[in-house]
Amino acid sequence: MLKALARKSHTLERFLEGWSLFYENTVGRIGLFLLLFFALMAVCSYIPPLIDPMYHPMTGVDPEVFRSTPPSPTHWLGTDNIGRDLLSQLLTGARIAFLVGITAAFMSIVFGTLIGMIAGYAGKVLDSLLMRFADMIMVMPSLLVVLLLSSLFGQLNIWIIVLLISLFRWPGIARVIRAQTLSLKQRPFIDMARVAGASHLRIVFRHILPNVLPMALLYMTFRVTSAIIVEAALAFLGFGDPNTVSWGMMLQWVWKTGHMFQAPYWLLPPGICISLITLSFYMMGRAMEEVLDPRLRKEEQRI
Amino acid sequence: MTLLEVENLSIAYQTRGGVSLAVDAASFSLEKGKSLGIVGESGCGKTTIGMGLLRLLPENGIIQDGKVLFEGQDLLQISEDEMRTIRWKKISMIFQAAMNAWNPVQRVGEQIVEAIRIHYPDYSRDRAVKEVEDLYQLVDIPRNRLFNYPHEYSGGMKQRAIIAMALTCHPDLIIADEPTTALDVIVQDQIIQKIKEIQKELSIAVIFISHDIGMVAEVCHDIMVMYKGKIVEVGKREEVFVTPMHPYTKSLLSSYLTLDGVFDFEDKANETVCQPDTIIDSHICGYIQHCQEADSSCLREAPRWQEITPTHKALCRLCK
Amino acid sequence: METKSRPTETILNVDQVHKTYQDVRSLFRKSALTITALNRVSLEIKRGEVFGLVGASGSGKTTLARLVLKLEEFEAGSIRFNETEIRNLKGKDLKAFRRKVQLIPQDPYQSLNPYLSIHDTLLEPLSIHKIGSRDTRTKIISQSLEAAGLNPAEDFFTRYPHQLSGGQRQRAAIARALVLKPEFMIADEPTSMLDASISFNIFRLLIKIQKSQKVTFLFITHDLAAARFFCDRIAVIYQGDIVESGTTEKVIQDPKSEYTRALIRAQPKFSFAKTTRPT
Repeated sequence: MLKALARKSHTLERFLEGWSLFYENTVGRIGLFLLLFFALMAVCSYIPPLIDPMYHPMTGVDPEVFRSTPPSPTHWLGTDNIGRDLLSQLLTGARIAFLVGITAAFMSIVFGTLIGMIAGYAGKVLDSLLMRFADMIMVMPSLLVVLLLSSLFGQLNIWIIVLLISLFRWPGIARVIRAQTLSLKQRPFIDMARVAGASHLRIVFRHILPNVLPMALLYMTFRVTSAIIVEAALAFLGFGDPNTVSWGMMLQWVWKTGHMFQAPYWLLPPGICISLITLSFYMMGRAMEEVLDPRLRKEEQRI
Repeated sequence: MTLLEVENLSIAYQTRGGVSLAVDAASFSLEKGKSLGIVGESGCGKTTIGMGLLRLLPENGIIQDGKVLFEGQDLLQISEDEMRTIRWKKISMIFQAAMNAWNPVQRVGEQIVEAIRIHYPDYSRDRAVKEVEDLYQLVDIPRNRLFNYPHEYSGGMKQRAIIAMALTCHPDLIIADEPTTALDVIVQDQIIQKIKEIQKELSIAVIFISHDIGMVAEVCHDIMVMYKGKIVEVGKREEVFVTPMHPYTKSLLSSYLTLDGVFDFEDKANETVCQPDTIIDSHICGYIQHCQEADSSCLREAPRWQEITPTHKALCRLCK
Repeated sequence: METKSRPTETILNVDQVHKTYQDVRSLFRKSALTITALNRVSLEIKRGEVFGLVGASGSGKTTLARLVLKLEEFEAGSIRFNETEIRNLKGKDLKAFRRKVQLIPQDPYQSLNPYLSIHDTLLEPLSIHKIGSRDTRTKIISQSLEAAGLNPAEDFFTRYPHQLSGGQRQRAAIARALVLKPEFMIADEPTSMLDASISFNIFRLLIKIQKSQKVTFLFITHDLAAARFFCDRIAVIYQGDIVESGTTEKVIQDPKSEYTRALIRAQPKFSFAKTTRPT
């Protein structure tokens, strides 16, 4: 049935074709399963507080615990120094990681794709201006700037952090999309659209955008990785949003309360989770890159 | 004397979708010093045959069956090392767009000298250079251009240098696969005339592969027409052009524009016309969907080779 | 010049057009290299005729087409379409001009947006120029596809370029050029990417369209034989210069320039076979 539907919809057909290629790729499959695991964690994060309010990651305190305890039947991963459940914190951390990673990546993709397409299509002065601007942002030490800003304005809201991350992360995407737009601009179908009388706006959004979109989505997976890392780093350094439980925050609490070497059950899970989730997005990105790689696609077309 | 005898050669490609047959039981032979042209549209398997003869198929290419007898020796049975001595020395090739194969940072003459000294290690450098000079004279490139870089050559010159390269080891057979694509009409003609001249002068056998039946006709004594992996008609040039038998050959000829118009050939067409819309059996003629002459019997029976003259035959049920 | 009773109204006048390209300045080359693509080229195309521009690759023939289509600017000279100079066309006037002049591209695969279905590809010019209601648009699209030999048209509506064969793609590109019912069509080597048997049918189709729709054609080719088959008059272009022009028969039977003679000499000869003029 899916195949019959695919014949109707070009997008679906392409997707299925790409999907089968992706799924054959071991790296991509591992990445996908890891990611599904984290997604499951994020979804499950809503459950513990429902069972017992003491499992609330932020406010729930086990009245019987007054110091950090190792894993036990009531707290599968143990508790922190004031008796909050670590498992529920870890689960909530997954949710925050997805939230931060995906929104920041999505926003930087929107900025990057728009600016890249405009620069590539317009060319000349506008291109130079936008690209020099992108260069400037690219060479700025983003972590340092965010640290400065937060020390100026006090604690930052998680959404402000997301916005800042995306504002610092678009130039890379803009460069890639610009390069693609430059080569697309030379393709005869753009000339044909001009001969048909299409306006610039129409050419950019109807003819160039769909062609650069797969590449933009690919870069989104890489941007998710870097957004999660930046957020974790900020949180660990104490500039995170104090009202959210992220893995970076968990690490900061371990460190601040001096449990670095006393409580491996507290230190390791968030550390491992940060590494694995970034790895999983990275692996997915690599596999997607292979699917989108024109050289590989050519091999397919030869059939 | 027969130089090359190909029997039942079948080549397939392993693809994601399964195995697809590119050359289906091809049989032909080539006399010493004669030239054979293989024509067909893109994807008909003509390049695959050329590569298959030299055992230079891409990794997913499989020779399924058949024999390639070159001077009585089956090239498909010998080891890769033995094959390497036959390539270049006995059989050399001019690839599609070969002129882009020159190493851009090495002088053209130097590249040919190197190739000679690989195959004849006992040659001194001077002797090899002398050899290249002679070859350049043969392909009409001025001697003072010998040690220029590839980018200093024009497209036609690069291609002529490729021909010189192919001649370095005095081969008995040259396989030329679309040697003039991407060249201008005038240069194209020069290259064709050069190949023809050298073929005559040195009496080298040539297999000339092209999509352009006119080009093939200029160079070759014999013409072989391919369609969807099958050889559908073989014959002397005059036979194929004046009395083409296979409907596909006819359609090729009637759609070829020459400066003086289209070809006027004797059409002994069968009048009954049947246009099937589905292929019932994979053994039946592959051209049936486009064939103007097919009748209902073509749907039932596999095509047979029909001998028109001892040198001219076609794979079609209807030819008489 | 013309003796036959042919419409003599000029549709396109190219007068002393000059176009150069600047090579990018590199580290090793101080001054930029200037390449002359068209050297003061003039020609005149009459309404209703098929005019052939014959030349090798790099001779400037595609550049001329791009200038006439106003896809590129030129330095000197003038191009007048229906007595209007196209150099300074803008806004509404440019849109009106675009409606009258269409292109049949060289590479049909590259010239169709892979993400648009055939229906959407053909719809685009109509919606740009705000032609017709929804129903009439569908009708125009069907008619154009059928005129280009894609029958039945509805079968092709939902298909995408990669689902078509090379010949079908070129027919789709021709259909797109037809939806606006242009006065003037430029065919830039429309068959160079196609197999011989298919390209002959495309020629036939173009001739049919030319006769039935009374379109003026500028036919750009490297193939003298195809030009003889298709064109009323031809011009031979060599390295940015028009070296010879005139009626097709006159140029081929009595070539004046050395280049044209070389071109004719390089055509394959078939002394062993018989040929007739196609009808």
